[in-house]
Amino acid sequence: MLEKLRHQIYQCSRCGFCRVWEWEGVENVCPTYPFTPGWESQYARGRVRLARATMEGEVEITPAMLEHAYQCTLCRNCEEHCPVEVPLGEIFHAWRVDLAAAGHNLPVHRQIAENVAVHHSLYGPRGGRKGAEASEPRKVSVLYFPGCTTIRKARRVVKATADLLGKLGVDYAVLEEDACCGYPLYETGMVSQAKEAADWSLERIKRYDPDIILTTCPSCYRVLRFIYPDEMGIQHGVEVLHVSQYLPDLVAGKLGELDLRVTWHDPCVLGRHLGMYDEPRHLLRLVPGLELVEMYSSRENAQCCGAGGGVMAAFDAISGGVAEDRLQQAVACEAAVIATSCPACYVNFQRTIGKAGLDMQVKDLVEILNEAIP
Amino acid sequence: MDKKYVFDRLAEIVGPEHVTDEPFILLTYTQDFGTQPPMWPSFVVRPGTTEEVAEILKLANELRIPVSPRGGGSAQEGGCQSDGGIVLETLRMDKILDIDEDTGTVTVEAGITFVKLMDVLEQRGWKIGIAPSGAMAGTPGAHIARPGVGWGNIKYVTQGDQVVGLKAVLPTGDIVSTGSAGNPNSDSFFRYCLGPDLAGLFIGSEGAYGVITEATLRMYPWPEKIYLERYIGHNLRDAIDIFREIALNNLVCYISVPVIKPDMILFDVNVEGDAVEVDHRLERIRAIVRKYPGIEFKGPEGPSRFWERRWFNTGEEFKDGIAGAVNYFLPFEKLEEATYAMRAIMDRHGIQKYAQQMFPEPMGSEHVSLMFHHPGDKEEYAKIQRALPEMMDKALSMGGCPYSKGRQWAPHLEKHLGNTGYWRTLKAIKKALDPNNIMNPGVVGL
Ligand code: SF4
Ligand code: SF4
Repeated sequence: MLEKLRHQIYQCSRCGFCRVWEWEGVENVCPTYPFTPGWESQYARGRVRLARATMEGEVEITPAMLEHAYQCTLCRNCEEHCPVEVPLGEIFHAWRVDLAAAGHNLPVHRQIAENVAVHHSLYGPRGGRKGAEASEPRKVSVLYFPGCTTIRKARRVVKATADLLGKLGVDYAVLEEDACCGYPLYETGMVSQAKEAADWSLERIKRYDPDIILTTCPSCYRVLRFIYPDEMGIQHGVEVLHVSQYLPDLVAGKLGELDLRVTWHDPCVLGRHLGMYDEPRHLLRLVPGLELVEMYSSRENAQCCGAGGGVMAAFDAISGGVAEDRLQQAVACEAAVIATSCPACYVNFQRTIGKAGLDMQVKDLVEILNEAIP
Repeated sequence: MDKKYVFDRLAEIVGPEHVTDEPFILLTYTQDFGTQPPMWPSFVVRPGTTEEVAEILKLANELRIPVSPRGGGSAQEGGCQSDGGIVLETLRMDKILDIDEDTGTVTVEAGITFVKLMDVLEQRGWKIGIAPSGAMAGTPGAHIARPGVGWGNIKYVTQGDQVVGLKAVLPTGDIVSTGSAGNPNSDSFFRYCLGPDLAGLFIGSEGAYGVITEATLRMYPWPEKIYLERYIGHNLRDAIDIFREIALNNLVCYISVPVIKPDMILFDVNVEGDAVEVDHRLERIRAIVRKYPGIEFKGPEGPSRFWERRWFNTGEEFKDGIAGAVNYFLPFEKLEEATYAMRAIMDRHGIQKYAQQMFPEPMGSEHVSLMFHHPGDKEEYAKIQRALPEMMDKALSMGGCPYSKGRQWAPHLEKHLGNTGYWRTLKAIKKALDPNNIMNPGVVGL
């Protein structure tokens, strides 16, 4: 994989602009860097050098080096702020694919892959909530695919989405059983395992013969909509929509007043990976009374929540530190709610608000809309 | 060297998380932003305080291990490389220690980035004089040690001229405060007092005489108006005459000449001050320009757009690759000859992508040649490596004086200057301060 990006890897001019800015809406270009010891290899300039070293067999791949490679949330803030436009997101992903292909994974990510293979969820067996298994599949217009993190760790989002779709009179079903879109395996470099997860989940999805697969997770959306056909050769032929694309026409005119000061956290995959900055903001602005304020870093500059790229699973302290950093931006703009549309951001913010004792609420986009529709 | 022993001693000083001998990390410290061949250090250490720096240098002195200080790693002459020694990275020392609105000075730790410093000052209505073009990664410690130039270099000259005082650690571990701070009862507010100007010893020494850990720089009220406009000329001699006249009359904050081609010279002027002053200066500048036929007025839009995102935009130049750089000062009267001479060498070596630039100073100009290439392109790299020594040699024989020397200029400086009192004095100071030659050996030629 890296070999295909050889030219791009060599494009890095070593300018060092991808570390910290503290200028023009960007604090730390690399969100995780301040929560690491801070070696060169812990932000993009060093990482791209190590990707090159991996490609050329220049260094021995040690567990410590793997840690530095995987302390990256794949947030692409470095790519966004690289003056020579090195496609760093693609390079760091390809690096992981090559590392994984050579048998180099973090143990925790290997465990996750095993969980998905056996239990169809990142989080392994369901434990006490076996009862939440699937309803009888039937042909539906819209199948809501929550994905593993939402279904296990952000149940409120599943409920709010179902409520909302019900209120809007949509012919829908929720894929309540465990099914992983494969993205967490894809982003940690385990592409063939991701494809197996994709095949399994698509088989479940197809039982509903949906016209639309609806997601509240940018990663599920990205992989179902783009990566399956473009990189995995899976042509499922079903339209895939993220809620922020699906809802505007449906909710228009139905939203009641909400007296709430909200800031929008752009999830990295929805924002920098997919360019969807306006869709969620548009939806929030439709809610009468809701005041939308922006944090110091927003849209293209948005700071990552710290969960992505497998970082939350592997580096709890880094992930929590980055989340707190981001939440402080929400506090600084005096928002009552930090809204997002990504279960990983949601979970990471929620646990960090608790730990840090911050006066802040995290809500998913659908929770806000659901509240606004009587 | 017993590496385990050295590691443990360094870890005792800075804590084990701030020292490394991991080969994969060392690899990322083998080069800077330029084209010098990689050098592998044995350790990288990241101290958090001046006292830790002092302890590191005492240890290095005791064990005779070379130490190379490094800031953002964004210089181009290999000054922060180390062959088997310790790279001492200052980036943990990134605090603003004091913004003193009484004396108009700001005191910072060596490893803060310029952009962060400037952003904080701007929010409080202040600015520093000299902003390096690599401000996004560059640090005051390194910029003073080179010593750097940058935007502002007609009005404010060089970073060295902005220094009010330094705190530096000598190779033996002693800590020196220069200027007024040499008096233990005083802060840093005046440079030329008490005794000889010790700050000058470290400005331009590239770490050969010690490690700068703190700097006090002058700051200035943010000007009421900043105005830029662009011109394009077609005759190099005329353009240089314009630069001289503007510079000698001190009419601008800076002139930037990012493009010098055989038939085209593009230059921007930046004027700052109160509104009346700016308008008056502009009138005088335009009157100077009008004396020369064929200069096109291109207006304020282009340079203003650049200025808005200046820190970022400077990096875009390197879309063409990493640059082998030959940068030096010359008086105005030699700039034309130098431009042709450098161009001739680059053309003779078949360098495919190069840029010639000037950034005038009050007494002459920085003359810049950048040879771009992608580091994977071995053929182009080899051509650049052949051209570089010829260009440096030629520059020095024309009377050119580099500011950032690193390892790239060292042999050439020694060749041209070696038999002078200046060189003997540099060596004598080096010997007195650094008897075991541990401080960044090889830079400058020391
Ligand atoms: S900003 Fe881009 S070119 Fe500069 S060091 Fe980072 S990756 Fe390389
Ligand atoms: S993708 Fe994000 S976390 Fe990874 S190196 Fe770039 S800025 Fe840092």
